[in-house]
Amino acid sequence: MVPPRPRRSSTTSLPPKPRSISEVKRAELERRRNSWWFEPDATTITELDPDGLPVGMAADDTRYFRAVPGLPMRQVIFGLWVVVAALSFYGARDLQSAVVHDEGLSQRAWLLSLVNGLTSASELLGPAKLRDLIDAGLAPIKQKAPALEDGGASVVEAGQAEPDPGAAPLPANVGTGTERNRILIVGASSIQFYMGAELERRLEQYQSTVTHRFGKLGTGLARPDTFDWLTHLPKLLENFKPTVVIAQFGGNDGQPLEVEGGKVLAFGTDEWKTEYARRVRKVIDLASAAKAKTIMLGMQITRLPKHSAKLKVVNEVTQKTAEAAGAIYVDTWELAADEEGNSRATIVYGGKSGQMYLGDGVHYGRLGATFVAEKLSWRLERLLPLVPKDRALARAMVMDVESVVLADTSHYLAFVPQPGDNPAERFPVLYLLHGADGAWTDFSDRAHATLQAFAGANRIIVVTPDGTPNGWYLDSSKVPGASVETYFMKELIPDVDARLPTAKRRSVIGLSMGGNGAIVLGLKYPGIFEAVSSMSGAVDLSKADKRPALIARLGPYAENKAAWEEHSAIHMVRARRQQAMALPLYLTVGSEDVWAPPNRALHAVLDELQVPHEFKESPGGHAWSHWLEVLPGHLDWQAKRLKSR
Amino acid sequence: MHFASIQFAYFLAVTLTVASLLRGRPVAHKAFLTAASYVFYAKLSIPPMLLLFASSLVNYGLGEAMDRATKVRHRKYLLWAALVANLGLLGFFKYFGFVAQTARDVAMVLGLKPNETVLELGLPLGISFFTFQGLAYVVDLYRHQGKKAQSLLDFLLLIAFFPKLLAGPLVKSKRFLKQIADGPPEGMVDLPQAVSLIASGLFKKVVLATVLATRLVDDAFVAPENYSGGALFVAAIAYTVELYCDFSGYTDVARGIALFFGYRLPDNFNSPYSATDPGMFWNRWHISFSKWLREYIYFPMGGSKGSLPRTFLNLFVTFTICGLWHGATWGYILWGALHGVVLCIHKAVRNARPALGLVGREPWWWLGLGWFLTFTVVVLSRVLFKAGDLETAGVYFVRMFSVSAVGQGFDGWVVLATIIGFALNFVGRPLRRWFIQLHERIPTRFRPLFWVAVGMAILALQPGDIAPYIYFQF
Repeated sequence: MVPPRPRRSSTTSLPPKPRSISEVKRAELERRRNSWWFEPDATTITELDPDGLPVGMAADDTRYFRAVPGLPMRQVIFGLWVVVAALSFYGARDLQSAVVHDEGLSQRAWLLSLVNGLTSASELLGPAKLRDLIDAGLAPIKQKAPALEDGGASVVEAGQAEPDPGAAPLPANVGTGTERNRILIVGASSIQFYMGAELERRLEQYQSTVTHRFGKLGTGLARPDTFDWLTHLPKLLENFKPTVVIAQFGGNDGQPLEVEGGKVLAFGTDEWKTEYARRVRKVIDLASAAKAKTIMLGMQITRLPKHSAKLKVVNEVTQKTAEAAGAIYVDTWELAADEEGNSRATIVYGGKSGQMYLGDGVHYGRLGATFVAEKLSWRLERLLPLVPKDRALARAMVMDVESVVLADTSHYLAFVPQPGDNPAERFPVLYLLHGADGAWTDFSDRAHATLQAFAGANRIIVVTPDGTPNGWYLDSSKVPGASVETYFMKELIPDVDARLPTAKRRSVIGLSMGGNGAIVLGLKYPGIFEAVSSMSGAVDLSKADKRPALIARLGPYAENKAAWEEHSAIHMVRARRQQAMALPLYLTVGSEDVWAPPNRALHAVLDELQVPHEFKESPGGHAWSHWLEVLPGHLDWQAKRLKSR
Repeated sequence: MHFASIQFAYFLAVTLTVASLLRGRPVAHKAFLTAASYVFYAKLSIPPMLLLFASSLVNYGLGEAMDRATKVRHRKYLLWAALVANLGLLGFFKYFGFVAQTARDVAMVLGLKPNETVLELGLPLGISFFTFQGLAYVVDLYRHQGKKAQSLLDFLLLIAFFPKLLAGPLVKSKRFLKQIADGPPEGMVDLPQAVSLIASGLFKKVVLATVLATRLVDDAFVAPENYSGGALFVAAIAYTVELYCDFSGYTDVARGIALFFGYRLPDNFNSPYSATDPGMFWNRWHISFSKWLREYIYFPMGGSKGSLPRTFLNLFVTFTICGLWHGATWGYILWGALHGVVLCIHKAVRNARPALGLVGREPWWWLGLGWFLTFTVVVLSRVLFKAGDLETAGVYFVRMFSVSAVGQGFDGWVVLATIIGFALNFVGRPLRRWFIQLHERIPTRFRPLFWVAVGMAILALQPGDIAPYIYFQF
């Protein structure tokens, strides 16, 4: 038993000596004391804690405090202030940065001038230079540089001198350089974590596609002092040689910008917008110089209204700049929103229910991120030549038509099944007509995966054309460019038949405005469509007689009843009963839909005319939640008829 | 406020100056410290500060009543009131989301429509700590073991003392109240210890833990699909070391700051990764919390005084509660339960030792095997701890043990930081003692320059990123 050695210290006195005790008993006591469930009893030994400070009563006993002399506090306080002052001087630039970028503090002029003065003094007298020197010397280890510093050697397993030519091919994160899509994804935390990881995983599901992702929490274009994207991006571009750069910045950019000369631009001012636009432009230019296309992703809505308002400003600048530079801007604002356009608290996806966001209300949780990433990948399929590796899935192709009657370029999206064994295979076509205030991207935005799987499995080409937002699929001489019917029948359909491997057979599904259009066109042009189905079709235009678009195109209802009835399904079935008899018809509507009564009336009329048709009413309103439920039914119904011959 | 920020340094300097000026006047001193602690907490936002105040008031009132109450029935009511108030508060903030999510999952499985309500109140930082601290005070009084606070001010300071407010060591109320009542000493006692604690704490937290977190661990646990098996293996060990550096760094800084103010806080760590069995591990890891569990859950349930199966139950329940306290995810709960099971096994083995013929000192190979097994269990269960949900943990484990070569790498600094952090477990205290001796040799008037040099060194080594304190979220 060796008593502890007395320490040579000016501030502590000798600790009390422990009692001696036999070896075995000591071992047992050690063992017992080391158990978590040790209950102290009378044989506990007084001892020192591992720091050398007495335990038990002695340490907390203030008599111990009083017994030892202490240093006068004023010395300690003085020393502390010396340290704080010296470190402020040494780290003056950090201090300046902290004040400048804090919204509350930067408003106080006296504080700003104080830190500016301190920084200048520090630079003049040397400490700042010393700091820079030390920082520069240690810089290689401090910032995590993007991976792929040397192209491919970094992914060789540790211990191998050089890659064995007979070994497995290089990992996917380098690729061979010859892929059709080499996608570089950069951004902040959304890219670094769940959403970026899920997006990368999805992009790996396409043929001839290789992805590299680098995201860094808390970064953006506003703070090059924290992480300078404009310096790191060229390195990434040089090492990975992408064909496309997908960038999402802005989440951390809702703050003042510092420019050359120390001037600080407050957020949201015109000068701020100009400077931010300059930085966004730099990103795009860097990518163009490396021969890569740029896709700038906008930021999505968050749970924090103030933060969301800032993101809107940033998105606006990004969009203007991207479009001016010839890059693509993808608006993702409502990807995380519910039907009314508000941020959603929970999400039901893939059979699971969970919270959309993490506790901070800004970053997505795992489920939310997966949901958003899926929708984002659908949009990317419309922008990049992404062909699924799974040959059972159709490929999404965006086609352009130069329309004479619309005097504009019109787009449509075609889901084309991947080539099978028969190179001469031809596919029937299913047209999907969107609703009022809609676009050709509506179906893809909501049900891209469903349509892709359907088209591939049933070997049908699915086309979602552009019916212009309120074209109502009719021709009107009153409004310029309002010849949607002619466009659709005389320009679009021939274009599809000419450019895609169609079997010259087609049918049509319409939604709301498109439902009415589908029935009317199906009856007006017999023999063109083999089957027509309508989801919550607007089948009686008289019920929409207040709509400005219809009034402009057809004239006021009261004076032009005939014209309105000519384009209403409910009257057309009566006028063209013969054609209706020969046309398979399927109608669905939601019970709470405002268009339910006209659809029920149409059903009654068809029964009265003894026209064979199918009508199904199910719970739901005039909303996508209902349409997504009934869409599979429509697709199955159409598939049966399109495949029957 | 982040301990390693410049704002905190200013806050500390100002508070310390005023506090030491007030040392002669106990009431003013205590009032000032309490006010400063509330300002510190309010920097985050105001509502949690009011919550802290309200919780302290309630606990103080219950303590007063408990002290005066003589009938056993009344004392029992007061005890229940304290349990409900404290645990209810904690449960509401922490577990509402978890319960709601589980209810939603069950609804999904049964085919019902899930409830959309989500509580989006932020969790006040440190709520687990201050509710437990208050609860311990009342329970101590119930058991006639504690001492009532001399005044409301004393009690407010006990709960709100800012070095230990956010994730601090849970102190024994009787001892700390005595320190508060007696007041700090006139001069600065144990200055070298204080400086060494702050320096070591900042180094561990600002340098080591941040390097590990930002360069490998955070990423690997969020998206394990991106990493190879080897990298995930290293990440698990790196996380174990990071957790130690983060939390023991915070505790060291807290203890150092408290010493400057003239108060002693107990240590929370005692080279935990040198433990040769799980029982010893829990004696060395998060000591104040572990002791709290023992005092207020394990012993009341019967401890190890009953039969062996009963002891197993007590151990299992205590450690599941430990897991649950950390957070409302299955990862934490399973982590706690796993430790409970491991401790049961350990106890059974310990009891069986005489039957196996092992008496006296353990042989070296037994200790070595024990160390290896304990460390393995700790590392693997930490994967559950960090991954949070079962899905991520599952992916992590599967990838960790499969021999896949594909994935992002990590840089050598992570390995170096892991080794240094791990070594600090064993040589940390000797290093601190060496630092103290170095400090003592410097003449008093040059010591501030030494402190500046240490500060500059830490600033220089600080990586560019900030990783938040892990234990603040509890």
